[in-house]
Amino acid sequence: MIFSYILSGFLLTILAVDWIFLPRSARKSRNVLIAVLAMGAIFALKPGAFKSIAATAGVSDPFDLVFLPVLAILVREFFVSRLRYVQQEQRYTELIRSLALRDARQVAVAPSLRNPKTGSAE
Amino acid sequence: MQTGSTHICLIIPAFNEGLRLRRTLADGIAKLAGFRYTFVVVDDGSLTPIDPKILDLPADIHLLRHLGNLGQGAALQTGFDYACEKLHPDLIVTLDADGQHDLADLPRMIQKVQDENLDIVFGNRFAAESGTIPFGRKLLLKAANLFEHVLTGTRFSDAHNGYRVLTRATAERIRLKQNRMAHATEFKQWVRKLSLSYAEVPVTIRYTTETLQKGQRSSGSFKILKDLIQNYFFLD
Repeated sequence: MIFSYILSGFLLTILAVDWIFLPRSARKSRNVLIAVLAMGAIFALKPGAFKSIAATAGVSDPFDLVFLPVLAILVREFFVSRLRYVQQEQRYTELIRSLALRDARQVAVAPSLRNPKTGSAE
Repeated sequence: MQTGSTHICLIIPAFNEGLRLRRTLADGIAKLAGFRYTFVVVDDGSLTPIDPKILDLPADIHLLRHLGNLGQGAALQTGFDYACEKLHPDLIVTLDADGQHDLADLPRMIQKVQDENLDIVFGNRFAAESGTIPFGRKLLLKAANLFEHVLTGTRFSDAHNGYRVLTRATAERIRLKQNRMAHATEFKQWVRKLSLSYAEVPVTIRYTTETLQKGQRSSGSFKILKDLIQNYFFLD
């Protein structure tokens, strides 16, 4: 039982931190996150409620009810964030390349092309 | 070989090279007498930007600067873009800034491209005297050869040799998307994709304490693998 209290305390602490620090403009994602954490805290304190919901959903092991969707979400998040990272990197590369091409300059000239008076390119 | 009439553009990506780059360029100037050439140095976001004064040498030298460090593949592509759009050379040469590639080998590479009308020629360190290649590096490169053969179907003896000569038309058709060291494998993928005619020419690589310190580490092969897998799934 003490583990349930520790776990629920931990989740409630994260909830409080998120409540304070998450930007209020991201209202929807903030609310979803807080709901998930609050549910986690309730289930940690009342595991029996979790079991009855799992049984109603037709899942034999209540753990699977959480684990499988979480796994799916994590895998999806990994792919989405990787894709965004690669796309951003491509854009960043093109931007830096355009600037390099725009600011390119000739810094030395072959002797045959130098102006004998000024020493610079003719 | 048409040395004087052929315009060669040597693209040199440089990251934190400083005076080593000047030595490489000076060495190149000494060995390229009789050729019509232009150096294109791409400073790939060096922490201390290359000072144009250190490039004040008797040759045509163009300097481009990436504002951030992107990697050698990206620097080469920037060099290709610049050379093809602004300089219109007949041939483009890629080489490292640390002086590990011997420009005395270049005439043979150019001759190979011209005589056999090839699209691209790669340097091959294993065909020349290979006694100086560290054992660990030799083993790693052999494994890379096998990997590239499986991946691209091409047969090369030296998977990651940065010394290449290609025609301008070839450079215009290639678009390197691998920013970092995986671009060497991407070259082979382009060879296959565009059905380019190619050959390998024996070249000497100078392994010094400096070049080994600055060069790729064995752990770099994992990064290359990671980049290849990542770009396979996430790039067009």
